Parts: sequence; structure tokens; C-alpha cells
Amino acid sequence: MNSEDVLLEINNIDVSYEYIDVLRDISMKIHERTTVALVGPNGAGKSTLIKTISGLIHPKKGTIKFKGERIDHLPPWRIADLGVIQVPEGRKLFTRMTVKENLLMGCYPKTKRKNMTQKLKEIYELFPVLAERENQKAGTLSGGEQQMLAIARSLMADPKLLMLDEVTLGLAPKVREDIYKKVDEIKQLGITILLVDENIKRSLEISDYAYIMGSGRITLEGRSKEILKSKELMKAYFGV
Amino acid sequence: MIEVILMGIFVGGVYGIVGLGLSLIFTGIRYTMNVSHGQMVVLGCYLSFSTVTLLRLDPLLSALVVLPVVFCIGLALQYSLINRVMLREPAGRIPLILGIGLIVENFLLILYGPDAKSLTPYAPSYAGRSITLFGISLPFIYLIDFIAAMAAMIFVYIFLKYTFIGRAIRATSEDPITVNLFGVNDKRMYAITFGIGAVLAALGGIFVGLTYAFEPSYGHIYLGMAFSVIILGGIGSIRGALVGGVIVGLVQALASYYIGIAYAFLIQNLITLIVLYLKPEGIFGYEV
Amino acid sequence: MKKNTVSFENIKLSKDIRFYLIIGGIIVALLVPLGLGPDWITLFFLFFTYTAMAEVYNLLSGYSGMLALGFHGFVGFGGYITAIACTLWGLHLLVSMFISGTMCVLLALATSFLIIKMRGLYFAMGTLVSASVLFYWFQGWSYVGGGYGMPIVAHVTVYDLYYISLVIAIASIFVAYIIVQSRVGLRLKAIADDDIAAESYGVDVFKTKLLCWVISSFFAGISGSLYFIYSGFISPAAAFAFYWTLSSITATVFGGVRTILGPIIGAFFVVWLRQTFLVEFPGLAMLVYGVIIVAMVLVFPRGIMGYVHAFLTRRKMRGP
Repeated sequence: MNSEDVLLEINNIDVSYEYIDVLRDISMKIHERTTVALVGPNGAGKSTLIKTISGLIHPKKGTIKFKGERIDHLPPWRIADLGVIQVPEGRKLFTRMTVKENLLMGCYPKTKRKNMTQKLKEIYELFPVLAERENQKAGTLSGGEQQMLAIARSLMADPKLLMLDEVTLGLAPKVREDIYKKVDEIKQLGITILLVDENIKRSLEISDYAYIMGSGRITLEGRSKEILKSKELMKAYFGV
Repeated sequence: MIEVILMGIFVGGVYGIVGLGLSLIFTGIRYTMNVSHGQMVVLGCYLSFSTVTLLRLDPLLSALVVLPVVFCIGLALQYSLINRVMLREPAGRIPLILGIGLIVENFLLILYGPDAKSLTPYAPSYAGRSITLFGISLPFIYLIDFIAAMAAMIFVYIFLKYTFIGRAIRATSEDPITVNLFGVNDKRMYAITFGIGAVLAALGGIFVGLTYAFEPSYGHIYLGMAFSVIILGGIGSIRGALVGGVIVGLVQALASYYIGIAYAFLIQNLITLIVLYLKPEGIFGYEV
Repeated sequence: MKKNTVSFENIKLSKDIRFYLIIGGIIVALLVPLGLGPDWITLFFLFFTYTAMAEVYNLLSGYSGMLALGFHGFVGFGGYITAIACTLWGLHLLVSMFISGTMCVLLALATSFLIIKMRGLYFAMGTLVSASVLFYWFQGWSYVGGGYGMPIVAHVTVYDLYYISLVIAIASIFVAYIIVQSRVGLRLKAIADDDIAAESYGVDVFKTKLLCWVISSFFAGISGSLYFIYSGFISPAAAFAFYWTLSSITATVFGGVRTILGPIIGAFFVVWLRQTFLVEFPGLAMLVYGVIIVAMVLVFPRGIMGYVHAFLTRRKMRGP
């Protein structure tokens, strides 16, 4: 792991959201082809960080670099164009549009439309459920299916960095396992992933590296395996 | 009487197109009520008039000039002006749009004068002539109005359903923030949507100009029509715009014939008010 | 928002000086007609009338956030009631005006359904459609001459109109001031910012909005009466012209929404525009209106008074 393959680099950013200081002095490095977990209690600022990387919020201070270029003051659609794609918290599907149309929205930018039909085929192979429901309105799908669609839509966008924000929230245990399996499959494809998930243990199991957040700051970072192994750490941070 | 009904239905198609434009702007741009929509219709009338008189084009062909021009105007208006007030609540955006409508209307008034004009004399082959359909005699233009309106609606439907931009417009109308995450510039979408809405209004204007006469001050009449169309037929629905248009056209035609124009408008507005109060989504509210 | 709310307080004058200024102003206004010719009197008359309209429109749409696009409905309705009472029934002018005001209040109460169910955008369009209903109703009513209109015969001079309109203007300013300063005013601001939130705090949104609606209808109607008596003729197109709402919007936007002085300044500007352009070049006048509205909304959303405030507040903060 050397600095050449650092895909995303966050340097000392401060972020405010609706007049409250939400993030303080956050620094992070995500290397290519790794899976990084962002872990922490509710309200720690994890979603805010993801929104900031995506450009929905701009940091007051500090820089965010993607492949060496600054993206912290770019508009969100530019950042998505560059390959930083989010699977938003709460899925945010276009419920009035069909499954297929949602997927097509994933490759809206002209650069991404090139092998649209090929991509669609691959997505349908990865998510056969969606192929079945191709022409159904997205709002009629079950919770798990909607989550799959949300992930698939983001995959259609050819992500260089895929950010999964609470993709297992509110789902039944079996469905959650399906989602984790899918995340693993996506990992195998070599996509760089930033994962935010409520299940700490599972996040650490899937990821290579982890950042632990609390009250808007990063309180600990390290290799996921080591954090998992260290019983004191697990107890101190998570009471597990 | 049958003639009256048919004429009402046919011209209702044109009202439907104008209403569709208003509806598109409303649903596509976060509930922006384009109170200058009527002026866009009149703009279409006058631009067509100039194109016809200066370039000697047939009024229908003038659309080739008028529509792109209006599209650019609409694009520019949304991008440079209306986008700046998108953060306000919908009612708070109205004064700005009101001002824009005023400027357009009075520009036209200054440029063309207050006298009524019409495109009918410039299309002698089809306007001002009658045809007989199943024993009923109608001015030909009404049939053309309807056919054109249907064609336009089909076109809009195909555009919204099958093109990338059409999908983007639909996605933006549902969730303008999330679309940004997929490379859609919501501000640009608003501009395109407004452009299309204005084009639909101007297209309606061309047919209005062929069927009736127009003055710069008629804007508010067409805003009223368009608003009635979408309240009665349903916001956010192409089918709704068509149905609403036909209803408005019918009410207008029948009421004008039997009790006079003033009462026709009175009834139209009264019905609109009642429906607005009881069921603002209209008949087909909220699908596309 | 806090800087916008009250105008007089922030202008650094002690209460006594303010009081004497107002009294002095009123005395001057009362004496003016002795010195000036009828043209000037007419100008002042128009100024007072437009002030009343603007002041009350500001109360409704500025402070309460209820964009009343159908304001002209009340103006026209008031004008017509006076026309009927005065000309067709031969009643005395002041009686006719009072009846106009009352009828407008009744109209406001009758249309209060607009306030209950419809908020924001729907309210705005609903009032607009309602005004259209009134327009077409009078258009088809032969008793008042239908689309051709009817003359208004009232035995008054411009001087009489001057004093009446002065009283009305002062009354409208006074009423607006009282309301804004009172607890009702606080409720208004809460509603304008977020009426659902206000409701959850126990603010009786409906009653407060209704109060504004009724008050503005009264003064709008009376202003309409005054204007059409001056004009000597009324027709649906003139009575229910969107121009009345437009000039009130322009006046408040120009002078400063949510201020008491704002509408007065705006009315002054509107009358100036009217006298300079409207007669000769109506298209140009309305074009200027449009440009002013666009410019004010985008560049100076707080209007003139808003900037006066900001300037004076900054001076205050810089210290002696």
C-alpha cells in the first residue's frame, strides 16, 4: 500500500450543517481496491461525511482529493461524474420510475452510457431479482429488493469509489445477509468501497481498514482484523 | 350544437398542450407555478406572426423558428433568474415570475402595439376554411388544432418516457437532490424543463393565433385556461392535461354558445375554484 | 429577519420627537390643500389611496406571507358597491363607502375558505381565480352596465377626496402599526415563517390570517371606492384589473416588505410612475414595473426600508 494508489484523501476537514459544527478535523485515506469501514454511534457524523465527499455539503476547512485532484468545492454532479458514487442512506430510489429506469439513471452522464446494454446485462446477472422486476415501479418492490436496486443503480454509474451508507438498515436478518453477500461480490470486482453500517462486527469483518467516529471526530483507525482481534478495543468502543 | 361540441373538444386539445406546459414546469421544477405562462403563449403568437410576415413562412412552419427561440428564452429565464429563487417556497417565487411575465407582455405591447392580430389570414389554405365531416361542417383549423395537440402530447410522452433527458426530468421532479448523486445537474434540468414548458405554451400560441386572434394583454386569459386545465384534469399527468383541456374547451364552447362568453369564463373559473378547494389534484392527479 | 420587522424603533429618534413629527405631519397634510392647486391635490389623493392599499397589502402578504394575487378582487368589488350605492341608489358618498367596506368584509368572510384549506401557492392561485370570478360576474351583469361599465355620480370635489383619502391612509397605517406591534403581530411573523410550526405552538393560525384578510379587504374596498369615485367611471376591466394587485406588490417590494414606512415609500414611487408614464406610455410603465419587481426580488429583496434599516443598524453598532 503506497501513496500512489490512494484514491480518496481527506485532509483535516471541518464541516458545518445547518449552523451546527458536525465534523471536526477529519482526515482519511482510502486506497484503491480496499474496503474501508466507517463505524460509530448514531449522530457521530458518518452520513454527513459521506454527503460531504459527494459534494452535497462543502467543508469549511480542509481539502478532499480524489485521485490527487481536489473535489471539495465541486458541485455534486461533477463529483459523481468523476466516479465517486453513493448509495444514499434511505435508498432514495426514484419510486415513480421502473426498476430499469432507475438503473438507467445510474448511467446518465454521457461518458457512462457507452456500454449501457452490456452493463445492464452484468447488473442483471449480479442481481437476478431485478431482472425479474424490470418493468415494475420501484416503489412496489420489497425492502430488500429496493436496497438491491439502490446498490445496482450506483453500480451502473461505474463507480471508482462506491460509498454504501447504511445499506442494511431496517431489513430482516436474512435480507441483511444477502446484502452483505452482495457487498462481498462487489468487493471481488475490485471496486473500492467505503462502508457505513450499523452492524459493527459485520462491517469490520468485511472491511480491510476501519475508521471509528465519535461526536464528529475520528477517534480510532486501524486494520479491521486487528480491531476485531483486540478484545479490549472491542469492549471499550462497542461494549462487545 | 354538435359543431359547437366538436369545436370545443378540438380546441380543448390546444388548451391541453398549454396546460401540459404549465404542469410540466410545476412538477418538474419543485412546484413552481409559472404565472408568466400566459405570456409565453402570447409570445408564441407574436413570434410566429413576425416569422410569418418577415420570412414569408406558413404559420405551421414558423414553429421551426419560434419553438427553438422560445426554448432558449425559457432556458435563459430559468437559468439566470428563476434558479435564484429556488430556495424560496413556491409562493415566494411567484413575484419574480410575475415580473418576468410583465416584461414579456409589455415588450410585446411596445413592439407590436395593442391592436389584435391573427395568423389566420396567413394560412388561407387551411385556416378560415371549413370542411365537412360526417355531415357536420367545421372550420378546418379546429381539426388541425386537435391533431397537432395530440401529436405534441404523444411527442412529449415519448420524450419523457424514453429519452435520457426525459428520464432525468422525471427523476429530478421526484428527488432533485439525489439526482445530483448520479451526475444530473438539477439546476440545468430546471432550465431545460422550463424551456420545454415555454415551448409547449408557444406551440399552443401558434394554434391559438391560427384559430382566434390575439393581443399582448391576453396573457392572463391563457394563464387562467392553463390553470383550469391542470386543476380539472390533474397536475403531473399528460392524460390529465388532455382531459382537462377538453373539459375546458367544452365548457367554453357550450357556455359561450348558450349564455355568452362572460358567463362561459365565469363558469370555468367557478368550477376551477371549487375543484381547487375540494380536490386540487384533479381527475388524474400525479402520474405521467 | 429581526432587522426587517419594525421600522420606527430602529430609526434613532426618541419617542417624543417621533410623536411630534407625526402630529406635525398630520397638521401639514391638513393644511396643504389651502395652498396647492387641484392637480397637486389629485396627486396627493392618489398617493394616499395607493398608500392605504399598499399598507394593507403588506400586512396581508408581507407580514403574514399570504401572497394574495387576487387582491384586486376587493378593490373592484368595493368600487362597484360604491358605484351602485352612490349612483344607482343615490346614497351619500360616505355611506356608500362604508357599505363598500362592509360588503368587502362580508366577501372576505365568505371567501375565508380560501384560508382554511389552502396554503401558500393554492391560496395565491385561489384568490386569483376568485378575482376572475368577480370580474366575469360583473362583466355579465347588465344592472351595472356589463362590459361597458357605468358612470359614477358623486357630488364631491377633489378636496373632499383629499381629506377622505388622508383619513383612510392614516387609518390603514395606524391599524397596520397596531397589529404589527401587538401580540397578533408576533403570531403573524411566526405564521409567515412556518405556519405548520406556528400551529403546533398553539397559534390560532386561522383566526390570525382571517383578521389580516378581513382588514385588508376593508381597506382595499374603500380604496377602490375612492379611486373610482375620482375616476367617475367604472368598468369590470378597470375595476378588476390585475394592476391593483401589481401596484401593491410593486409598492411593498420596492419600499420594503414587513415595514410600516415601506409601503408608503412604495406608494409614492408607484404614483410617480403612474403620473409620469402610465397615461402616455402604458406599455413602458408596466415594463418598468416588471423590471422593478425582478430587480427588487433578486437584488434588493428587503426593499428600500430594508436597506435603510441595515444602514442605520450598522451605524448604531459602530458606536458614538
